[in-house]
Order: sequence, then C-alpha cells, then structure tokens
Amino acid sequence: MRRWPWQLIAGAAVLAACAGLALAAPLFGNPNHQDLVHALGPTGLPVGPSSKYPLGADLLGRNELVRLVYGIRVSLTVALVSNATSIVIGAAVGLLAGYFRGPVEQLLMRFTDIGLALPYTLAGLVIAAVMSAGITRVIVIITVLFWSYPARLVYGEVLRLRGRGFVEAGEAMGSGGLAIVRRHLAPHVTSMMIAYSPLNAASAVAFEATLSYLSAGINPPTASLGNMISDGQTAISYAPLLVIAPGLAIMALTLAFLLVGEGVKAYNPDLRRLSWLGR
Amino acid sequence: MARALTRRLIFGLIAVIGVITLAFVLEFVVPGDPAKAIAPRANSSAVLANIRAQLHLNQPLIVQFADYFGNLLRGNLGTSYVQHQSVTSLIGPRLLTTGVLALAGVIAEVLIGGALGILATLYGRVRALVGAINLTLLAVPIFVLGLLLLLVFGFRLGIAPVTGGAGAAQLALPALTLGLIGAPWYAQIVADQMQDSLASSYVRTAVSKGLSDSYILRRHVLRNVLSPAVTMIGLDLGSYLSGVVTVEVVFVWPGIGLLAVNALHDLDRPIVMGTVIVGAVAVVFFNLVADVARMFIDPRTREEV
Amino acid sequence: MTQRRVTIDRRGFLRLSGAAGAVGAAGPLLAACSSSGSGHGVKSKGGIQISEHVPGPQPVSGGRRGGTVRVAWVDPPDSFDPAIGANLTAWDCITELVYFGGLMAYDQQFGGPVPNLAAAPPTISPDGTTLTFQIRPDVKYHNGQTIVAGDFKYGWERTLDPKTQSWGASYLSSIVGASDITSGKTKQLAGVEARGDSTLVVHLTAPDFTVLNALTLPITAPVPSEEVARLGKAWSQRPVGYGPFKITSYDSAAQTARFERNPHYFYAGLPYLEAVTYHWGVDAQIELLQLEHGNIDIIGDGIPASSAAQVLASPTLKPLAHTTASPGNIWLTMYPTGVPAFGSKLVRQAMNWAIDKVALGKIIYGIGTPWGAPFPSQLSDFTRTFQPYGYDPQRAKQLLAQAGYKKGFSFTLTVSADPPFPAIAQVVQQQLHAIGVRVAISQVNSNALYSLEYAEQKGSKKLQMTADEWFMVQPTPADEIDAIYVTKASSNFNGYSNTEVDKLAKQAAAEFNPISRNKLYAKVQRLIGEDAPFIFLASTEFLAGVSQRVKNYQYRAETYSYYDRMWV
Repeated sequence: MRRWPWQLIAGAAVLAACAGLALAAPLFGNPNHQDLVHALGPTGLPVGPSSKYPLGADLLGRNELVRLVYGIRVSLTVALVSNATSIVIGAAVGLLAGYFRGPVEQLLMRFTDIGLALPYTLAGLVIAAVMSAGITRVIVIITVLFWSYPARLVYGEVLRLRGRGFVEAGEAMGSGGLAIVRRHLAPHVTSMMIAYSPLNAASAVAFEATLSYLSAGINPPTASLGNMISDGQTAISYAPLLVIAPGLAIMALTLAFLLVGEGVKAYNPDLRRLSWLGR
Repeated sequence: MARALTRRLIFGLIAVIGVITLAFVLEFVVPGDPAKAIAPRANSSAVLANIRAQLHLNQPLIVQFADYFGNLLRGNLGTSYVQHQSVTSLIGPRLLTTGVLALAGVIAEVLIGGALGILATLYGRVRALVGAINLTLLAVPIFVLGLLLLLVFGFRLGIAPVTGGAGAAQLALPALTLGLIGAPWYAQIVADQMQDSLASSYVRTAVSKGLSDSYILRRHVLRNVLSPAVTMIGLDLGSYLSGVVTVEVVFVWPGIGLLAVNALHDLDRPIVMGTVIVGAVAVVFFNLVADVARMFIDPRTREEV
Repeated sequence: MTQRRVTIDRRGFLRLSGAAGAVGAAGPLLAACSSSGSGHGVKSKGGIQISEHVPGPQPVSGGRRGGTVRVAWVDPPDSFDPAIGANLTAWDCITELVYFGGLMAYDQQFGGPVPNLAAAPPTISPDGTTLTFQIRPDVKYHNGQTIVAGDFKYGWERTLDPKTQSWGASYLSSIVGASDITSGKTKQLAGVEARGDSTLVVHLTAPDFTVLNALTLPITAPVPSEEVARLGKAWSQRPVGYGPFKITSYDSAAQTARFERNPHYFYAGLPYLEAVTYHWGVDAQIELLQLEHGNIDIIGDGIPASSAAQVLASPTLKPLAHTTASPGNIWLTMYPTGVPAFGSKLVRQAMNWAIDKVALGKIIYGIGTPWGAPFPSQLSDFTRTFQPYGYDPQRAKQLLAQAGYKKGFSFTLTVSADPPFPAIAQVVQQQLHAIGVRVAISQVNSNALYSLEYAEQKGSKKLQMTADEWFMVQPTPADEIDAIYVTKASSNFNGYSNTEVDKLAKQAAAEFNPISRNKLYAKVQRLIGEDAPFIFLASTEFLAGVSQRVKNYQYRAETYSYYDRMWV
C-alpha cells in the first residue's frame, strides 16, 4: 500500500475544514443582517475590526466574517456541483464521439470545437445577461464553458485506447457496444477524469469568483467570495480587509483542490501527463 | 500535412460560425430595448418605434440574422447603438491596445515561467520553493492578484500609476499580473521537458562526446521545450486577444475586453457581437498558427489530430 | 476599478414635463423665471404676462483670461450632433461648449428659460398658438457665417426627420406639420415660417407653453445646412456651432477632444478660458484619483455614489466636492396590478412609515438626502405644507393590520444594476422584513428596467415594485406632476390616477402668479403624499468634483457646467 502523498493530505484537510465551516455557517450568524446605525459611521463608512466584527463591517453594515463563511459555503457548493456536471457531460460526449466514430463523432467534435472557441469570460457575461442571478446561473455557465475540455481529453483517450486494440478485442469477444464501453473504456476514462477533477474544481472556484466579481454570477445580498470583493473594492484604500479576506479564502479553496490534484498525480504517476493539460 | 491543416482550417471556420450564431441568439434573448440604448433621452413610444423600424428590429429573428451575416461577409460589423460609429472603427484601436497587453503578458509569463522552470531543474535546493510558488500562483484568481498588486504598488507604495490609460507605465502592472498567472504553466513545461531531455540517452551520449552545454541545450532540450511551449503561447495569445476581460477591468486598460463589458452593460448589441466574433476568430486563428508552428518545430507531431 | 456607473445614472433620465403629447396642458414656464436674475419687468401682451430678461450670463467680473480646464468623463460622447447627443459627455458639450441654448436658454443656476438667440421673448398671438421670434442679428457660427431664421427651420426639420433617429422628435410634436415629417410624408415643416433672415414664426397645433422649454434644447439649435452636407459623418464629432467654445480636435483613439475659445461669442467678454479639454474612458473611481493628483480639473460625471461618503469625510478631498443644485427624487414605485396589497392606501402609507430613511441616507451619503415626500426638498420657488413621512415601524404595522395584512405579504423588487440601487434594494429588503413584508430582489440592466416599465404602461402587469429616480429639467413641481402624477402621463408607470390632482395640475399650469400657484402645488403635494403611490426615499444632490484652481464654478442640472463664466 503506497503512502498517501503529503499534498493529498494537506489539500484534503483544507477542504475538510472549509466543508466544516460551510456546514457550521448558520452558527456564525445572519450574513444579511445590516446594522446601519452602529456598524456604519455617520457618513456611511464601515467600522473596522473589533470583537463584535472580527473582520470589520462591510459597506452595508453586515458582519464580514459571517459573510465570509457563507461565501465559502457557496463556493464549495458551486465547485462540487459544476465540477460533476461538466465532467459527466464532457466525458459522455467524448466517449460517444470516440466510440461511435463517423458522423456522430464529427457532429460532437464540432460542438466541442465551438465550446473551445468561445471567448471565456465574455461568453460567461453574455449567458449571464440572459439568466436571472443566482447559484443556478453560475452552475449553468460553468458547465457550458467547462465541458468541452474533458470532452476533448476523453475523446483523445478513447482514440488512444482504440489504437491499443481495446475496442477490437472486446468486439472480437462478442461483447455489445455498451458492455465494451463499460468494461474496457470506462475504467481508463474514469481514472483520467478523477485525476482531472481537482483541477476542474479549482478552476470552477476561480471562475465563479470572477463571474460574481463581474456581477454575472451570484448577486448580493447572497454572499459570494467574488461579489464580496467587488463590493469591497471601492473601499480598498481605507478598508482593504474587505478585499483581502475573501481573496485569501478563494486562494485557500483553490489551493486545496490543486493540492489534492497534485496528490492524486503523485499517488498514480501514470496520470502525470495531465499535469499541464488543464486551463 | 497540408491535408491536416486544411481540415483544421475548416473546423475552425465551423467553430467561428457556431460562435456567431450562438452569440446572436443570446443577444436577442437579453432583455432590454435596443432603441432605448440608441436614444436614452427619448420618452415617446413613437420615437422609439421609429428607431426600431429604421434598424429593422421588428423583423423575425431569422431575417435579422441573415441580414447580419450578409453584412458580416462584406466586412460590415454594423454601427454601435450607443456611439453611433461603425463597429470596426471602434473595435480596431481597442484590439490593438489589447494586443499590446497580450504580447507583454506572454513575454512576461514566458520569462518568469521559464526562469522558474530552469531554476527548479538546475538547482535541486530550490525545487520545493519553486513548486510552492507555482502552486500559489495557480491558486490565486487573476482579479485578486491584480487588485493586490494595485493596492501594494499603486496605492501603498505609489510607484505604479493608478490613473488608468494605455501608456507604457500603465502596462507594467497588468502585464505583470498576466505574467504571474501564466508563469506556472510554462515553469512546468520547461521543468518537465528539461528533466526528461537531460536524462535521455541523446543527451548522455552528447555529454560523453564532450559537446558543450549550450550546444546540448540548444539542439536537444530546446526543441522539446519549444513544441508544447509554442502550443501554449498560441492558446494564450488567442485567449488574451479575445479579451483579457478581468485584467482590463481591474486596471481599466482600454482594450477590447473592457469595451465588451461596457457594451454588454449598455445593451450595445453590435459591439457585443463584434467583440465576440473577433474573440472567436482570434482563438481559432492563433490555435491554428500554434499548430503550424509546432508541426514545423517538431515534425513528429505532424500527423496528430 | 470595475464599477463604472457609480454616479446615480443620469443618462437618459431627463424627461421634459409632458411635452410629448401634453397639448393644452399649458406649462408653467415664464413664471418660474420671475424671481431670479436682474433687469426684467412684467409686460402684458395679448392677455399673457411675459417677463423680460436681459439675455446672457449676468456681467461676470474679476475673471482672469486664459488657461485650460480639463474635464474627465466615464463614457465617450455618443454624438456631438445636437440632434442626437444625449449622454452626459455629449450633453455637456452641446449645451455649454459648442452650442449654448437655442432660441431660449437656461443661463443661470436657477430660473426659467430666457431669450438667447431670440432677441426678446416671442410675441404670442391672443389664442396662444402663434409665436413670433426676432432673431439676434449679431450671432455667428464658428465658421463666420451668420445665423439666420432659415437655419432654425432646417435644424428642426432635421431633428424631426425619421432618418436622423433623433430622440427629440417628440419635443417638437406640438408644431403644426411635425407629424407629417415624422411619418415620412414630407421633409418640409409646414408650421414654421422664416420671414427674411431675422423673423421666425412658429404655429402650434394648440397653445403649449412647454415649447419654450423645448426651445432651450440642443435638438432645436440652428445648424448650417452647408456644413452638415459637407461634413457628413464627421458632423457628429466636429459639428459647427455658435457657443462659447469651438471644437478643434476629436481623437477617438486617444479619447480626448479639445475646444478653444470662440472669439466672436455673442455674449461679449466671455469666455475667460482659453480652452477646455475632454478626457473620456476614465473609470469612475479613477476620476477621483485624477482630480486629487491634479491631472484633471472637473469630474464631468460628478463624484461617484460609492465615494461620496469617503470624500466628504476626508479633509483633503472635501474642498474638491461641491454640492450643487440638482433637484430630483429617489423613490420605490408600487404597482397595484402586480401586488393586490398595494391597492390599499393604508398599505402604501404603511410602507412609507416602515423605511428608516435616515439610515438609508448613510449609503447614499453625498448624493441624496433622506426625504419622505413628493417633490424634491430643495425647490427654491416652492413652500410645502405636507409633513414628510418619517420612520415609525409601529405605525406601519398598525396600518398593515388595519388593512387586513397583519401577516404581511411578499413581492419582488426589481432594480437597476447600477449603483446605488442594488445597495438601496438590500437595505429596503431588510427594513421591510422587520414589519413582516418579505422582499425578493431582482437586478436587471437599467435599459431592461425601462423596457419593463414601458411594458407596464401597455398593460403588462409583471412589475411589483421598482426603484426609480427622477431629475428635474425644470425647477418647479410641474416638472414631476405633468410627467408622472397626472393620469396617463408619459412617465406614469403604475397607473396612479387622482382626478383632483389632474384638475389642480391644469389649474396651476395656467396660473402665472407664483404665490397662488404655490398654494395649488402645496395642495397637490398633500394629495399625492397621502395617496402614497410611491415609497418616497430621498431628494437627490449632485456632488460636483472640481479642483481648487477653478473659480466661479456654476452648475445647473439641465445643462451641467457653465464653462463660459469660469476662470482659473
């Protein structure tokens, strides 16, 4: 039994801590509670860090720490869900294209090309303009923009496996299409996607933050690490904590996922060739 | 090779057409009245109706799309709703500005990443440190890094200009941001390829033959590094030219990304369409260029799909 | 930084009082100028009282000639064509630089329209439908050509021409023959005669005094037809005008424009400045930094909402901020068609009592003051009797219970995504929550909000509550009454209707004595206040950002900064 790599342990630990915070969020308080009278000065400037407001108050007199915890909750949820959806859809497309070849392959791969040619952030903004703000919108956008990469990866992998005779062998043994997919292709594809997931999730965290920062993701009052930064930005010269705290939180989450990814690669060196094939 | 290239070209074209169609459909679903974008002070429905009629906005979607596509083939991207000037005249200079930033960013990331990768390979003691730096840079979202750099160098230390614009001084921070964000990828490529090559039999033979270090690096290692690096540069240029939106927004760099963000807010449909198209073309074009370059550098990859 | 629309969005929010189609509702116009300026008396012509006014900015003395003022803007000008220009950057130029008023102008910080290119107030026929203007003989365009009556006719025809796509066509709709041009039947404006070079006769379809307000707008400016033809597309960037400054360069790549003193400006002695330069594409936050560091002299868009508090609290920045006159209101519109509870007057009053406007005031500090009544708090010609709503959540709950909504109710508040509206929405959401009313927030693009509101007028019934603002274009309550509160007014989106208000509005519009008119408006304010069609939140302020080297800075909401009388 190989030793668990330190990256895997460290990353998983941070993720577990964030998950714990996320679950315990309600214990911290109400993220939307505004105290305009006491948490804002007479001209509307927020109060700084104190025992009541460990990270200070935000521009609407809300407790920044409570919002941070809820923001982590949102980021984690979005990362996990959109990671799953984009990989499942992408892998399915890649599998179908690689296995069936012919017109199906062409059609699916052209769609994948379109997906890869979409100018990233801009396409996100355009899609956002059409949907109403919220977690669903963000998950949809991330899924739409992220699925084509795993599709391309899986497609390539299936072709490679074909080239090594897996499919023919299965057909020679008289197995039907689905069985071949299940028994011969799926295991390779699955382990590839498992190795790819952490990178995908890390990108999802960063992209959700970017979208919310550009007001194309989750809008206030719901706390998202990204929209907390865009709200706090105008106060950066006198209340930088409003930007630094959520920024560090995003980094911690992303780093955790990346460490897990590195750990998985260290655990199974065959997957090393994925090291720079991410975003 | 010509056959592979032609196929790529056709696929690229299909992809661009797909993006255009998608963008067009989405833009029509966006709520809001373009006539109001053109004439914000108008408060009479008759005036707004007239403007809509002048622009053929009452026609069915298919007709409008056919119109738009026809104009597109003739090189006419339409007229901006808000600025009443041709889209091409507005996008052109902004594309150039983004191009400058893109180039600076690529140079920065290649230099920083390359340096990190070489250091990690040649000096075992710093390998862990470089690894940590890489990981941190991968983890930080681009706008957070940008804001932090702005806060430290612009506001606190006062050595970088914080007043927006497209001058040489203003280029430093955004280019640095792009450079730092992209560096880990290049560092990884350089480090991996160097390690592989240095351990390969080719190089060991060359060393035993007494060939100089620089010769070995040039003949054997460089080519292996260049191939994936060039692919990556192509991808980066393409994606930067499609609008490094976040960096342009944070530093108020007047490029095509900022133009697109503002146009989206103003419901300036022709500009949004124009920037999306330019972006898609840039991505496809540079991917193609990168593929061609890679094929030349490393003939072994010529037949890959 | 990212939030570019940080001022309360002033674009496109100026709406003339009911000019579009309010034929017969005689606007209050000349009476509004009765208390400002100097050198006028009151004459009676054909039964209508007209006050005279010495045209032009009053003799301004002590100024130093020379120098350049640099102005920063967020947006590029949409067009310097006087028939089309509408956003802040363009408006500032076509009302104060390249052009200055039309036949009439607003030439002071307060007061109504006064003769400008017209030599004197017009002669008005007894039935009120014919206005005869004498054109000043000494006014030249920047190219040296003299302005003649025919140029006005040409300019108005051009504005009405559907091909021009001018937003202002509706403001000339009361002129005979205007509708024939807008419908494409002809290009000639039948109701306007140019008699010789210096007489202009205007025939209206019905007496409509608001047309004199319309005649201050750049859409009614005279333009030289030869130059329009010669310049073609370039006209929208370098038009030929007659104002205190002429445009000498427009560089879209460098995002600047330069205007130099017009030595033949028809108000002799002005302007003092040698030149004015525009710099656009500057982010709202950065405008403030540039002002601080001395890179620019005036922030065209004003100090952004999100920085107002910071600026006023900082001893170094405070001298750069000037609170200037910009009467207007911020309110929440309630739509009874979307929420049955809003059909009850008690509920609407309860909602007004439920908002802590002073607390809300903290987040709009500097750009708005808490105000719980219709009409802005700072109208110079108006004295109120209505007592504004304060903050009394107990009373609110009582009223709700009385109306049968003890358990509260819920609805969606639709707001523009431009600051400070999302913040206002969040505060309102919390405050209403405290009295049992549950609010969901829907943020949309400001243009989309417009579309939704116009759709409501056509019977859409989708909206439940919106956050809106209004900037007056005339410094009198009639501006809001005729456009918003009168039944079926052009900007009346929630169907508010009170026949008593309609009656009083009509009466007041025909009343030239300011004291009696004021009494009528006070009554109207009370009626509207008690009806509470809106939740009244605040009265707007404009926070100008001006460097200390600029002297005699004057600003007016209708036309923005007066460059002709400032010096450095």
